[in-house]
This record gives sequence, C-alpha cells and structure tokens, in this order.
Amino acid sequence: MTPRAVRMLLVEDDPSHRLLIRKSLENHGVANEVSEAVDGQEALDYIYGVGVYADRKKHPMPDIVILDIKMPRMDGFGVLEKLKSDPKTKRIPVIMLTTSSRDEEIAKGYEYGANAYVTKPLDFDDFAKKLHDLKMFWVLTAEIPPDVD
Amino acid sequence: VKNLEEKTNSDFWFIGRFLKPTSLPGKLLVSHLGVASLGFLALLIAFLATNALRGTVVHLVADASPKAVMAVTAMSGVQRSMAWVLRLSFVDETSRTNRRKAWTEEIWPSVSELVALAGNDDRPKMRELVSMLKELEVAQWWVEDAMASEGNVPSNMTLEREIQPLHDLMISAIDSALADLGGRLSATGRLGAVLSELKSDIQVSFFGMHDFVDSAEDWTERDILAALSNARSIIASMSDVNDKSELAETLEWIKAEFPAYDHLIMRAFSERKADNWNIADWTMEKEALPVTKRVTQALRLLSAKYSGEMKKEAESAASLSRFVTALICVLIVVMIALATVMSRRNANRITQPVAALSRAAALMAEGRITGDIPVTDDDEIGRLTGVFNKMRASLEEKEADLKTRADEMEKANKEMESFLYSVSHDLKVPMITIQGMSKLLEREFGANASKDAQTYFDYIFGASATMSELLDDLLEISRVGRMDVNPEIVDMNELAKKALAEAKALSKGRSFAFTAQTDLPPVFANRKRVYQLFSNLTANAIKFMPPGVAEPVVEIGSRPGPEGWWEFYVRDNGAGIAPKYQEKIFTLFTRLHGRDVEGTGMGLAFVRKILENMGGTIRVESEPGKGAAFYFTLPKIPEGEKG
Repeated sequence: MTPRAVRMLLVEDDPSHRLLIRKSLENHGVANEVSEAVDGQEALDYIYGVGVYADRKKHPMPDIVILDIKMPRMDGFGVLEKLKSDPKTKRIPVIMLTTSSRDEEIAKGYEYGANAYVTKPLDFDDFAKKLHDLKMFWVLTAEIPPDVD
Repeated sequence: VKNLEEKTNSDFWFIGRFLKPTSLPGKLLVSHLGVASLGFLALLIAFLATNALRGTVVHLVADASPKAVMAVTAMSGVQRSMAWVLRLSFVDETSRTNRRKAWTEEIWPSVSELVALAGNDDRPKMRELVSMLKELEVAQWWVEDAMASEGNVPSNMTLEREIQPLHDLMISAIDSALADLGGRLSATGRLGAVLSELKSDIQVSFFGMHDFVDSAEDWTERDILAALSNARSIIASMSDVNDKSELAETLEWIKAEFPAYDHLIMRAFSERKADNWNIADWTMEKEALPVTKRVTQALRLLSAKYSGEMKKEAESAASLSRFVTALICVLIVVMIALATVMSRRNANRITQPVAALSRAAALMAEGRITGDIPVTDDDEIGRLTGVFNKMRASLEEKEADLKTRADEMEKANKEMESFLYSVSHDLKVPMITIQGMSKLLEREFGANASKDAQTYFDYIFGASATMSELLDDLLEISRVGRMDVNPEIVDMNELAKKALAEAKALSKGRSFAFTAQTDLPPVFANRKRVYQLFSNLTANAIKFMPPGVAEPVVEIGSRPGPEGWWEFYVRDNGAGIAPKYQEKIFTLFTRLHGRDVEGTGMGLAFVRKILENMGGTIRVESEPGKGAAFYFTLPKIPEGEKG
C-alpha cells in the first residue's frame, strides 16, 4: 500500500509567511497536502470540524500541525494546550514554527507538548532549507500516528 | 538605654557623680584619681604604721636603751672605783685620781641621767640608790684616808711611836748599866748575866712584835710572851742595889719602866689581834664592800629591768615592724586588685560605647545597617555616637535611594532589553517576508528581468542581509542580560581550537598565522557565551586585518589575572585602534570602519556585555599600525567545582 499524502495544517496569521511556508513545503515533489488557518481559533475550528470546516471530506483531520505563536484571537500556545489536553487530538504532532527564539517560549512550547520547536530563519534560503528538512523528517522519516478515528 | 544609664550612674564613685564629667579627659581624670586615691589611702595607712614603728624605735633608742646603758655604766664605774680603792694598798696618786674619776666621770653622770630618765615608779629606788652611792663614796673616802694615814694600823703605831722609844731607852739603859758593871766585874758577874738576858728578852719581844704586827703569827706571839714572861721574872728577881750609884739608879729606872714596856707590848698585841687592827681594811670590809654589794645589786636589778624593758620594746618594735611589712604587702595586693577592678570598670565605661560604635560600624561596613546606637553620655564618644547615628541615618537614606535608583535602572534596563527583544522580534516578521518575497520574485521572475532590475534585487538582498544580521545581533545582545549564566568547566584549549578553526573559515583563503597557547587554563563560565566571545574577537581580528599586512597573525593566550580570575587575550598585528577610540569601541553601534567592512557595530558591545554579565572585564591595548590585543578576564574554577 502506498502511503497516502501527509496532511499538514499550517496555522499562521501573516499571509506572506503562509505563502513562503507553502512555497518552501511544496517545491520538492514530496506528497503532502497543506491546509491553512489564519489564527488559533480557526485552527481549532478546522480540527474539530466546526462551521465551514464541518465537511471532513473536504477538510480532513491533519496529520501534522505547523503552528505559529503570535496570532490574533487565539495564540499558538492556546491551540497547543487545547490539542494536547484532548485525548482525541493529543497524538497529532505539533511543530511550533515561529520567529521567537526566546528560551521561555521554547521551554513553554515543549512543556505544553509540542513535538518540535523551530525558529524561522531570516534568510529565505535558510528558511526554505529548514522547512524542507522539517518536511523530509515528518513526511519521510517519522511514522505519523494512525488516524484518530 | 535607661537601664544602662541607671547602671552606670549607680556604679560610679560618688566623686564621679559629683564631678559628672562630660568629656573623656574628665572621665579619665576621675578614673585615675579614683585609682590614685586608693594608692594614697594605702600610703597613708603605711605612713601611720611606719610612724607608730618609729615611735617605738625612738622610745627604744632614746629611753629604754640609755637607761640600761646608764645602769651598766654606773655599775662598771662602781666596780672600777672599788678596784682603784683596792689598789690603794700601794698608795699611789694614780689610783686615787682614777678612783675619783670613776666617780666624777662615770658614776655620778650616769646616775644623774638615770635619775633624770627614771619614771615615777623608779623614783624611790633611785633615791635609795643615790644614798647608797653616797655612803659608798664616803666609805671609799674613809678607806683612802685611812690608808694614807699612819694610824691605819694602831699596833704598828704603838710599836713605832711608843714601844720603840721606850725599847731604845731601856736597851741603852741596860747597855750603860752593863758598862758600869764592867768596872767591878767580880762582884757583879751574876747581875751582868741577868741584864744581858733581860736585854735579849726585850729585844726578842721588840723584834718579835715587829714580826707579829706584820704577820700576827701564833708562834711569834708565843716567843714574845715567853720573852716577856722571862723578862718579868728577871725584873722581879733583880735585887735592889741600894746605893746611890748610877748603876743603882739605872737599874731602878729599868725596873720602873719595864711594866710600861710590858703593858705597851700587851696593848700592841691586843691592837694587832683586834678585828680592826687595820682600819682601812676594816672599813673596807665592814662598810665599803657591803655597800658596794648592795649598790651593785641595785644597779644590776636596774640594768636587768631596763634590759628587759629594752628587750620588750625591741620585741614589740620587731613585731610591729613585721606587722607593718605584712600590712604594706596586703595593702599593695589589695591596691593592685582594686586598681585593676576599678581601672577595668572605668575603662569599660569608656570603651563600651566605643566598642558598640565599632560593632555598629563593622555591621555598617558589611552593609547590615542597624538601628541607632544609644547615646549614654554627653562626652566625646556620646557626641561621636550621635554623629555616627546621623551618618548612619543619612547613609541608610542614601542607600535606600540608591537601591530605588538601582531598581529603577534595572527595571529600565529590563524594559530596554525587553523592548529591544520585541522590536527585533517584531522586525523579524516583515524581514522574513521581504527577504523571502524578494528571493521568490527573483527566482520566479528574475530570468526576464532587466539588468537594472537585477541591480535592484542585489541592493534589496544586500540591505536585507545587513538588516538580518543587525536583527540577529540585537536579539543576541538582548538575550545576554536575560539568560542565566549557567557556568560549567570549559576546556579553553578545545574552545580556542574551535574558535580559530571558525576564524580560518572566515579568512576567505587569506593565509593567517593562527596560534593559541597549548596550556590554556580551564575556566568556569557559560560555554556558549565564552565561545561567542572568542569567535567575536577572532572574527574582528580577521575582518579588520588590513590587506597590506604580509603575514597576518591572530594569537590566543592567557596569564594569571586578579584573585580568582584568569586573563585571556586575543592579539593581532592588524591596523590597531587609535587611543581615542579604545573605550568607545565597546559601546553599541560604534563602527570605526566604513560600510565597505561588514559588521553591525555590536560585536565588542556584545563581548563586553557577556563579560560584564559574569563579572569579568575587558580592555584593549593597541597602538595604531601595530595591531591590537584584547585582554579579558574569565573566572577560575571555584574550589567546590573541581571534583
């Protein structure tokens, strides 16, 4: 059985960053699907199939969540806390992808159960490389947890 | 405070309370006077005791002793006078003079002194003594007088004054009768023999009497009596001649005078045999000697008495002297003890506030500020304490003020850092976009771009790269103050090797001589920070190495620093730094070089911040054109961390 494409949910408020991340993730011909949410609340709505995301066929449960921290309505830690405290969602790997390299925040991320904490490099080439590596790891190297259902 | 005051007040001498000294000299004076008064008291007691002793000794020397001496002198005078009296048998002027001298020079002066010295009790005895002495003097005079006179021996006087003339007359009468008889020898043959026998008897009795007066021997007496008795019978038997002849007259005269002669002889006998046959001897024996004995006895008693008195006085003087000595010893000990106690107490009174002050000052020096020190006295120390309290209060105020300021500064600093962090972080977000988007733009549409567009891209990339670096450095700097130091043992040899390897990579092919001391000591610090520090300094050395230097050198070394620190250095032979910039280079955003040399102007500020964060320092030694050496200190491994 060929593995299905890894579904990623990218939670990021800055549209330009969303674009850069998407570009960086797409370019290398590895099968993955990227959905997007612009803030924490929307991310939760997506994961729990609330409102416009009720259709699971159209909006399937993500295998991996890529989560920014600073966002309006609900920040990344809020999302992380919710996901990791819910048995239904807590096995979904969450990768914090953020500009902050503050130790407290890194520590807080791991304490809340993040599976990885990655800072965004300033240089685009570094940025692209880092996301590529990330994708390679989670898509090709690591075993994704089986579907929750 | 009140207790202390009450205590010290009640403790102190009345004199102290009386004087109430309010200055240290006053207190010291009172204290010293107190101690000195003890000494004075002791001296007074010692003086009184010595005076009593002196009185006894004076009495001994001026009273008891002279009395004894006088008694003895008088006694010896008496004995001497008696000796001279005894020597008078040879009747000479010297003895007489000496005897008198004994009286005038020894006996009477000493006795009159004795009388003068005698107490009321001794008066009767003295009177008695004086009368006895007078009696003795008279007796001695009598003896002397008798000895000097012929009548001293009456039998002798009878013999010489009366018997001898009569004897001489009778012998010459007998001789003339015998001469007369010579003419008529035949008729008077028997008479002549009788006369001759009579003459012989008279002569025997006369010379025998001489001997007897001298010696009074019995056999002499017997011879004399025999001769006398024979003479008596001759006289009785002598027949009367009965003529008127001269012979008859002579015989008659002899017969008549003989009884007188006989009587005188018998008287001489009795005189010689009488007790007082020698008046001087007799007076001596009967009067002078007994009186002498009594006088001597009396004087001996007196002498013994006075000697006893003297001995008693001497003994009491000795015991008094012992007592005085002991008293003085005890006084000295007591005085020393009291002086010690008093001096200590007084010293405590003076030093206690000083000690309290010193303790408070020590506490203050340690930064532990205590409350006000109680001011116990209005003296110099009291005033000093007051001033100290004021100083302490103002210091406390200042310290609080300083702390507030430090807190404020710390807060401001934190805010600054936080602000810096937020700003750089927030700048990062659009920066990523600018970089990413321009890269994407170039990648996706660059192929068709004009040459001008390509230049624009390059500027965008260059500027955003600089901007990124600035942001990274800013972030890093803002993090130094925020991060825990987390020290660990860092192997500096390894670290230097790593820093130099990285520097080599930065050197872009230029051949640098990278050297590091191989015996760099390990330090106790945050490894990452120490590495950043070294890599910053080596990177600077490479970055700013002028192209003209033929053999560029970067060198790492170390040497002992201040207590608990090592001093490390990174040295190069580059352009060096002008003195006026040497302090400035450590401040943020100071750039000595133009835009042609890459860098943000934050490297050395960052380095200094790292060092300051762990208490270290950094300085530069440089001469323009001859390179620069950066010296900085890193902590040694503390005792507890070595194992």
